[in-house]
Order: sequence, then structure tokens, then C-alpha cells
Amino acid sequence: MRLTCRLRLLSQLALATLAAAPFAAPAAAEEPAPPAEELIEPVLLSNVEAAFPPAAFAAGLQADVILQIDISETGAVTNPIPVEAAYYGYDDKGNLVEETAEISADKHGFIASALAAVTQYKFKPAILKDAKRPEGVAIPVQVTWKVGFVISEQEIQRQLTEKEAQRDQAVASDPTAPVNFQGQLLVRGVRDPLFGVKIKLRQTAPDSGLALEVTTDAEGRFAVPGLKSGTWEIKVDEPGFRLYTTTEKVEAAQLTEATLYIERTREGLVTRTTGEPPPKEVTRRILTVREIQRIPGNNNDAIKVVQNLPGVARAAFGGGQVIVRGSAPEDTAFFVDGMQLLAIYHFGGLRSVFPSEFLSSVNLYPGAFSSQFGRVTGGVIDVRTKSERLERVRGHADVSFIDSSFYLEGPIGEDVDFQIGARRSYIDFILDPLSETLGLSFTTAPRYYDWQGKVRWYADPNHTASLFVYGSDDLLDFVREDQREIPPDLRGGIKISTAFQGAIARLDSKLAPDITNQFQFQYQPQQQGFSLGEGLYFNLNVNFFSIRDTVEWKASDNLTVRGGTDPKYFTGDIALKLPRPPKEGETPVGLGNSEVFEITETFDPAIYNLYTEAEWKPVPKLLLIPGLRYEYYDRVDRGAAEPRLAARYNLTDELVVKGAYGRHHISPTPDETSTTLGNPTLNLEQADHYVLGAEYAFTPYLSFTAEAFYKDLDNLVTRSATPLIYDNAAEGRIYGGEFFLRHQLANNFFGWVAYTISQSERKDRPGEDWRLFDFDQTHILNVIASYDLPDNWSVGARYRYVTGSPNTEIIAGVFDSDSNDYVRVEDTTVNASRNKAFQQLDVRVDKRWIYDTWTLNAYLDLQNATNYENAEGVNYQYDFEDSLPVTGIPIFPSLGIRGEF
Amino acid sequence: MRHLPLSRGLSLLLLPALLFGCAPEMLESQSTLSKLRVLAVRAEPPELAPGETVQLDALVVDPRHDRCLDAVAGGSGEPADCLSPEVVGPPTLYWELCLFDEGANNLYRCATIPGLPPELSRRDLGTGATASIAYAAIVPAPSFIEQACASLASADAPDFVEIPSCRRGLPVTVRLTAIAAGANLAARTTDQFCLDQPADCEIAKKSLTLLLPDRVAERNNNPRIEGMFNAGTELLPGVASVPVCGDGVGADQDGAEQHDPELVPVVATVTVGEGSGTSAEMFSPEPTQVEAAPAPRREELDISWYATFGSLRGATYWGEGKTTDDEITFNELAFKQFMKDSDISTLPAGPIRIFAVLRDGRGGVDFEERELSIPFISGADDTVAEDQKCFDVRSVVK
Repeated sequence: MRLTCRLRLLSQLALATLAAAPFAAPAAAEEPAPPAEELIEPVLLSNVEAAFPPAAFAAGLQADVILQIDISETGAVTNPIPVEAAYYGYDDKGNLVEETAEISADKHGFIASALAAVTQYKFKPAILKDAKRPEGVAIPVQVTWKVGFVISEQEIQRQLTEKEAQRDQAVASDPTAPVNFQGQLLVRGVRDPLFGVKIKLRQTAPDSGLALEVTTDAEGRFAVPGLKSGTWEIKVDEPGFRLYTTTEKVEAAQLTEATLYIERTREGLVTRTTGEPPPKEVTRRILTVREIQRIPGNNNDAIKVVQNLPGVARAAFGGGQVIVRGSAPEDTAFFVDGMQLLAIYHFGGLRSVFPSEFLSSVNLYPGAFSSQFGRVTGGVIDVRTKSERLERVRGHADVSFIDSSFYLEGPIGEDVDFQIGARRSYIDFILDPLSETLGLSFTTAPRYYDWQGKVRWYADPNHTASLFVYGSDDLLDFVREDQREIPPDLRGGIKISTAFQGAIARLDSKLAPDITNQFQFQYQPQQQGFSLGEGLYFNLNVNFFSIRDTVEWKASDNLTVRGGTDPKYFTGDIALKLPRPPKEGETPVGLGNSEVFEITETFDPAIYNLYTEAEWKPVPKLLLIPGLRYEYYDRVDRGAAEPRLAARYNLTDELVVKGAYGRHHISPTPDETSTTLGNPTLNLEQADHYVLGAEYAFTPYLSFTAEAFYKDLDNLVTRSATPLIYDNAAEGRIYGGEFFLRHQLANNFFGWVAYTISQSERKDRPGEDWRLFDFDQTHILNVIASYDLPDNWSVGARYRYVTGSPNTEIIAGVFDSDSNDYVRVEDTTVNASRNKAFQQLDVRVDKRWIYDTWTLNAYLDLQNATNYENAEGVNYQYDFEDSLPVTGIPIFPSLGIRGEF
Repeated sequence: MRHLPLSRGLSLLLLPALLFGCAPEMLESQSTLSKLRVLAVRAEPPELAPGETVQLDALVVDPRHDRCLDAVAGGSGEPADCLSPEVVGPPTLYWELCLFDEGANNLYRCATIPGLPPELSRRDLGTGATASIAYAAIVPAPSFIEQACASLASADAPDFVEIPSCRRGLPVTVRLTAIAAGANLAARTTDQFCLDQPADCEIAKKSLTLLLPDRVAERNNNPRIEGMFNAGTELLPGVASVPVCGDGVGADQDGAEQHDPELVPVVATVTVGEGSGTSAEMFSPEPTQVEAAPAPRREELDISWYATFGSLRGATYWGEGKTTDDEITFNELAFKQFMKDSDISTLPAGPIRIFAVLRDGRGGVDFEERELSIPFISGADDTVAEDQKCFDVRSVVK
């Protein structure tokens, strides 16, 4: 309630005691009559509001105080004297009540307040004009002045209402009695507590008209002492929630407890923030998990949505590759909380290896990223597990067409919380009955599972420790039933397996008020295997040991410095008998036409590094992030320094311009540096990233980002003249632009339009022409929209258009009589042709049934709703004279149900 | 450290087909003969020792030629199909021998290697049905093989020439270009013609090892198909016999006998075993990094089947140490095509031809051809006698 105080000039000036009187001597009779005197009233130039006495204000008491004040010839107020005071207010029923009191008593403090105020007034003095002084002269005057203390009508009404409620409450309950009615107010379905919400109670039996109001605390709890016996109507009318009404029967001497669940009107009214710090990377796409789980075509999988962001090319169906800004898939790395993973997706990209609920955010850094990330020349995908303290038990069970999963989180005692989750596919259960039709006998049809567990211990305010364990296992093992058409070496079926398990121990420490340290240790055994009968195989077993330690010093509000290291050591063995794998730009050749290599090797390389970076704000609107990283790879005995620099400048509150440069290196693949299959003297591949862009925020939830990027690739590994097999003679260049219009979850809607135009080229050897990169896709368009409808329905759609990937045309086949195979003859220009453009519309409908303590969600995810025939590849006739496209998935409905609590 | 994306890449290829069956199956099988094809190139001996001469021949088939012959002989068919000069006669074969070849993308043309006499790089072996060349004509001196292999390893050697293993000798390339009879090259090279008109041309290559003198004892020999049978009755070369429907000898992969009356069983007999005349010889594999002294093992035979009409159960069967009547030598022909009455006239008027090509995996090859006279019939299942069912091309008519 704003205090209002008015000053009012009540009377005209009383001039009987004018100080100017001595100058008004009577004039001689014979002289002409002098002109009449003219007095110009003083004018108030500045005033000071008189302070409304708090007690009087709370009581709803108003006043008029009449003062007599002297205004000097300079306009100052002197000698204020109270003359009269009148008080008035309203009783509980709203009737006007007036009161007159002795001046000397100043019963409510109004007079003192008025006196204090008027002495600070400044007037334009009164002016007296007469015949002698026609221009006028300032003179002191004495005036009567009224200071009014007035409360607004709204405040008066509020006070009356409050008084009424207090009166009722006082009647309805007894504050001195024990609590006999208490409860908790939670969000229906998810059981989030609601803080600061008013709960209204009204006695309905007997219909006494008694009512009271309580407010929930931080945990959503409320309590009423001494509530009168009877039946009480309980009402919660909170914006964003459905009106909630229930009744409870209360006994005066008996504790009644109630848990109230109120339902959000539409989920979209609430936007959950990730708790992430403001952006410091020049390009960083953050996806909040809740926002993206319902994007069509992703089966609730938050990590899969990365493939719909700007700069990310589309992998062929079942590819599961992440191709960032024209870089090779193997040049992009996956991290969980900054620690590297073998893979982020199960077989063919059907699923990611972490359930969405385990995560708080998914971060994509497409280029020129922080010096904290190394050994990557493409992009970085860093998924972050939940960082907020888990104070309630929550979970879900999800059953879909391809897999089932569960997830549970919650506290254990005061200082510990936990997360566990697991998932298993059952494609194998579906395919097994179909094996006869497919002509296949499955030992294990495609199946994957993953599991996760995390425990955090909040040891003290300065230390938090956690242990995160995880695992993923993919297996496909089948035999073709008719083995006669399979060469003996290759009989016995096909087996493909990928598995990894890991543990990350972490300690977050606050070493000093401005210094923190984060230490992580990771151990991750991983196994990859492939076998085609007994003849061809590939088995790789690796044990990773990795450390990451980062110290951060907040030197001032404008400068933060951090530094650290994340060395890796891994030991393992590889056994393979395979044709030499095709390199980028090459097309695979038939097994019968390839020389088969057989090797067994053990290895134990290590990678050492140091990194540092600073976040510096030389002026408030400019953020500079210089960084430096040095990495040494002992397998190839090479080291490299990697300078990084990023800058963001806030031109206005809405507009940010930004730019970045980064040098990045990556080691050749193990087969390229193999002493048998490759060249152990290869150098590191290098990439220089340049980024320039701008961000504009139309509203807090609607933004637009435009970025131009250029990548200069050097020392790329390529085939060489024998006997080196490989060298670093290739180079590459990638340039393009990204445009991202994003509407974050607000007003029941979220969605984005992501468009990338780019060209990625390679030059295999000096002097040769530039050619298109295998994964070059000129236009990549992703349009995503999801809208929450009434009654807990929501609909969403995703449309994708992608230029077809390049390919090298096969112009003929030559018969190899020794192998009885045809050998392809390719066009002399690599990647001169393109597949047909890809386009697909996916649609999703969700329906939620919200119960008090849990929520049931059913969804229909319809992929390729228009049944468009996309060419994912080409199937050639035995002699390459004819071909037909291998089409992607036809229209594919996926039904799922999900329960959350 | 980057990971080797190998098994993941393989899974990518397999999964879509497995899960969704999207791979097309409308392309022609390798065992179906519908145009000019080279089915095998044979060298006798398959590895050439000093002082020997190799005889080269090939199994080349142009079924269009067969159909015209049928039309002319039977007075039926479509004579208009046979007006094209490409199908009125047997194809022409162009034989070459390359010391080294330029690889698949250059159609295995003969490569010129710096340091080697150009006249030795390519030998024109003529255009006959067969060709021959003596060891001495390729290897002018005993040291030539070592010199040739060394020259390949030099920095001047073209990138596209693969370095062969010269441990047993020098593998050279026999290049065969088959062009349909009467083809009009119109000033084009045979290679260009093949790229322009693939249905009338086929390029084939075969490796021929010129053995080092000290490795002659380990030489390979061609395997041999001893005979071809239908239901226990030998099919004789040049004789078109009416086969017996599916009560013949044969077994599925589990060893159970086949008795499908709707199929024509055929068997190519091969001697597998120890002693002279065996087709699956014992040999000592070359050492590898993993296995410095591999144990001797038996050759892995495979038989590829072809037919000018009908579909075969399998295109190529592999086996190791199998007996003559096991599954790798057994195949079955089916003719059922669910034809309309109006299509019956398109059935072959004359005999159909079936071919079996036997390979030993080390360059050895043999092939046989037989003719079958098929009395095609059509009708509902219940009107066709049991022993005639394999000749039915239209057992279901709706």
C-alpha cells in the first residue's frame, strides 16, 4: 500500500499582521489616491511528503492537520504551529468514524509528521506591490496550511477485507490451540510442492460462514491450529492451475491431515530452466530435456534431438552418426559431464545410451569450442547429468514399440541422493518369430540395453562427491539359414557387438571463497566386435583410464580463470582379419575382391594435456574468452598447441554479436597408425575453426541466431603411394551459414526452424581438384513444432529436408573370374553425383492422464507420415549394370505408454 | 583418440535391411542368363611353370543367340528379335596378357611400368575362342620376375598398380573382352564400346601365376567336373534330354534328401579326396603375420550355376572337403512363372542350357555345359501328373 499524503492550502492569506504594514503610511488628503496594494500569494515550489504513521496506517486511520506557518521573504517555512487535527476512519463494517483530539496529545503521530514535513517546504515568497514598489517586493507572511493524511480507496477496501478475514479466522480457529488440520499442497501428477499459495477454507457444515486462509511454505505445507469442528470446504484458486475444491471433516481434538493435488491447466505455462550459467561459448546449443522429449520421431530421446539442430547433417537411416559442420563422424566426440564416451547411441542410432530423465541438458558445441575439450576437430556433444539436489522420490516406467525402461531418483537421508535407470530393447523378441520368413536364424536378434546409477554425497557445504556408473551393450548375432551360398570361411553367421561400462568418481570442492576444484576419475572398459563366420573378424578391447581436474578462480566480478588437465591412458588389444576398411571418399568393395589383412596387436598409448582459459569482461558488454590447450599423443609421438579465442558483445539487451577462433587437433585412427595396416609416423590432423554470428532475442522465449563458419582442415590422412599406405597429404575446407529461429517452451508452444547451408570439400592430394566430402549436404532444414492443447493433449510435428549425400557413380562392372565377382568401375570424379534429397514429416500426439501421485502418458509417434520414399542408398545388380534405391523406413507408427510419479 | 568406426559401420548396413526389409529384390540374379556373359576364364595349367605354355579358354554365353537359333530352327518365336547383328553369331573374344594391370577403375588395362620393357607390359593373344602363350614369352630371363616385382615397389610406379605378393612367382593378368557378334564398334575402342553398350560386351580378368622355378612343386591344378546328372541319369554333352522331375538325388543342408516334384534336380559330380584326380587338393597357405607357418589345408571348392531359362535355387555353393553328392554339387531348377496363356509362346522353343563352373579358390577352374529339353506345360495343380509338375509354368491361374 502506497502512502498518500496531500497538502492543501485552506485559506487565503490573513494580512492583518503583515510585516509590510509600516510601509503603508496613510497618504495626504490632497494628493491623488495612491493605487491599491497588490499582494501576490506565496507559491509552493517543493514539498516533502509527510510520513504516514505506520500504526495509524495499519489501523486505517486518516487525518487532516491544520498548521499555522510563517513563510519568510526567502520562501523558507518557519515556526509551524499546530492549530487543529481531525481524525477519521472506518469501522469493521465500513462505517465512517470521526474523532477529534487535543492538539497537544498528538495521539497518532500525525502532527509531528506534518510538522516535520512542512519545515522542509520551499515556497516562492509572497510579493507585495504598491505605488512605490510597482515591481513588488518579497515579504514574510503567515498562512494556515492543511496537511492531509489520506489512504487510497483500494487500500481501505483491502484493509476492510483483511479485517473481515481476521475476524473470521479468529473465530474459525484458535491460534493458541494445537494444530488440528495440516497438509501439503502438491502439483498433481508430479508431486512438486507449491510455495506461497493461498488455501481458502470455509465451514460448510454447520454453515456458519466462518472462513480462513492459510499460505503454504517452501515445502508446500500448511497448518491450522484450533480449527473449529465441522466440514470445511477447501479451495485453491491459483493462476496456471485448475480450480481445486474439496471438503474435509475436522474434529477440534483430532489431527486431520490432507494432501492436496492441484493440476496445471497447461504444462506450457511453465518453463523449466536448466540452471546453466549464461552462455560463454560462441556457439552452444542447449536443449532442456523436458522441452525436447516430445519432439516427433525421437521416441522421447533427448540426445537424438541433437540431430535436428543447425550444423548437424543427417546420417543415413540407421547410421547413428553425428556429422557436425561438414566434419567426419569420427571427428566428433561424446562426453558425459566432460568425460568421454565410446558412443552416445545404440545400434544404428535408434536410441541414445542414456535415458533422458538422467540428464539435465544436452549441449552441442559445433565449433571453436572451449579449451576444456580436446582431441576433437569436429564437434562436441556434452550431456550433463542432473546437477540439482534431488529432494523427492520420482521415477518413470516407459514401454514403447522398441524398448522399455525405468528410472528412479530421490534422496537417501539428509546428505545423499541417487539416480538409477535401465533400458532394454525387445526388437529381438519381435524378430525371432519372423526369422523363418526372413530366412535368418537369430542367436540374438538386435538387442541393446543400458543401465546407469549415480550416488551423490553432500559431505559439507564445500564438498560434494559422486559416483556415476553406467553401461551399454549392443548385440546382433544371426545365421542365414541356407548356408550353402556362403563361403565356408564366412559361414557361422554375423555377429556385431559393442559394449562399454564405466565409472566416474567426482569430487567438487570449494577451496576458498573464490576458488573451486572439480576432480573426476573415469574407468571405462569397452569392447567392440564383429565377425562374419569364422573367416573375418574384428575384436577390440580397450580399458580407458581418464582424469579431469579443473580449478576455477573467480578473481573478480569481471574475471574468472580456470585451468586443468584431462590425461588419458588406455590399454587394449586388437585382433582382426578384414579387408582394409574404405576411407572417406572411397566406396566399399566386395569381400571377394579385397586383400584380407590379419593382425593382432596390443597397445597402451597415453595422451597428456594442459588447458587454461579465462572469462574476462573488460567492459560490461564485452566477454572475452581466451584459451590455450596443449596435447601430446605418445602413440604417434606428436604434440600440438591449440589457441582458442571467443568473444561476445552485447550491442543491446536484445542483440549480441559474437565471434570465435579455435585450433583443434585429432590423432589418426588406430588402423591408420597400425604398423601392419597403416603408417605409424602419421602426424595429427588439424582444423582451424572460424565463427562469426549474432543473436537477437525478440522476447525472453523467442530468439534468432545467425552464424557463418569456416573450417580449414590440414594434415588429413589419405591414401598414399605404397609402401606408406597413408600420409597426411589431404586437406579440407568447410564453409557455410546457420540460422536458428527458436521458440522456447512458453505459451503452450515450443519449436524451431533450423537451416544450414554449407559446403564441405576435400582435396585428397596436392594438385588434385577439390571434391565433395562424403557427408556434404548443401541444405539442411529442420522445422519442429509442438503445441499443448486443452485436456492434456499435445500435438507435434517435425519436417526435415536434406540435400542428398554425394556418391561416386558406378559406371560399369568387370568380371573377376578368380573370385566369380564383378568389380565396380567408378566414375573418375569422386562424389560427383548425389542421392535424391531426403524429406520426411513426423507427427506425434500425446495424451496425459494426470492422477494425484502419478501421470500416465500415451503417445503415438508417426514417422514418415506421408510415406515418402527416401533413397538411403543404392542396391546394385551383381554386375552394376542396373540398380534400385534402398528406401528408408515407410510410414512407421510407434505407440508407447509412460507412467511417471 | 578416435575410434575405429568399423563394426558400427557394418551394423549400419545390416540393420535397415533386417528391420524393415527395404532392400529391393527385383534385380536380376547372377545365375540368370539374359545377355552376353563371361562365366569363367580357364587357364590350363592354372599356374605356369618355366618351359610350359598355357592354354586359355572361356565360358562365354549369349542367350540371345540361343533364342534366335531356336526361332530359326523351330519356325516359331519372334524372328524380329534376331535381326540385330549382335545376336546372330557367337561373340568375339579379345585376349590380352598384362604383366601388371591398372586396376578396376581402369578396366584392368595393361599398365606400363617404368624400368620394364614396354613390349613386355602387354601381349595381344588374338581373338580366337582360345589363346595360348609360353612362359618364356612372358619371362625373358630367370631374374625377370624379381626385377618386375622390384620395379613396382619403386617410387615411379603408378599408384593404381597394386603390389602383388611375389613369393611364389609373378601373378600376371589375363584380360578377356567378349563382344557380341556383329557389334559395330564405330571407331571406338573395345573398352569404350563396353562402357557404351554393356549388354553387348563384357570384360573379364583372371590372374595367372608365373611360378618361380623353386615353387613349381607346389603348383596348383585345375579341379574337374566329372559329370552332370539328373535323377541318377548322366546328362551327356551335346544331347538335350528330358529331365525327370524332383525325385532325384540331392540333399538339403541338413542332409535330408530332396523330393520336390516341382523342381528339376541337377548334380555336378566332383571328385574330392586324396590321391590323383582329386579336385580339392591339399596346399600350404602363404604365411601371414599371425600365422608364420600355416598348416597345409584342403582347397575350398565352389560351384556356380547358371541357366538360360528358369531360376536356380542358388547361384553359388561353397564347400570344403565335401563329397560328390553333397549339397554343394546339387542344385535345382524351377520354371514355374505363373504365366498367362498368352505368354506361353515366349517359352524357349529349343533346349535350355545349364552351366556349372567349379573353382578351387586358388585360380583353378573347370566348367561344364548341358542341355535340357523341357516339355513346358501349364495347368492347375490337380490336372498335372506328379512326374510332370516340374514342367508346369502356370500351376496357379486365377
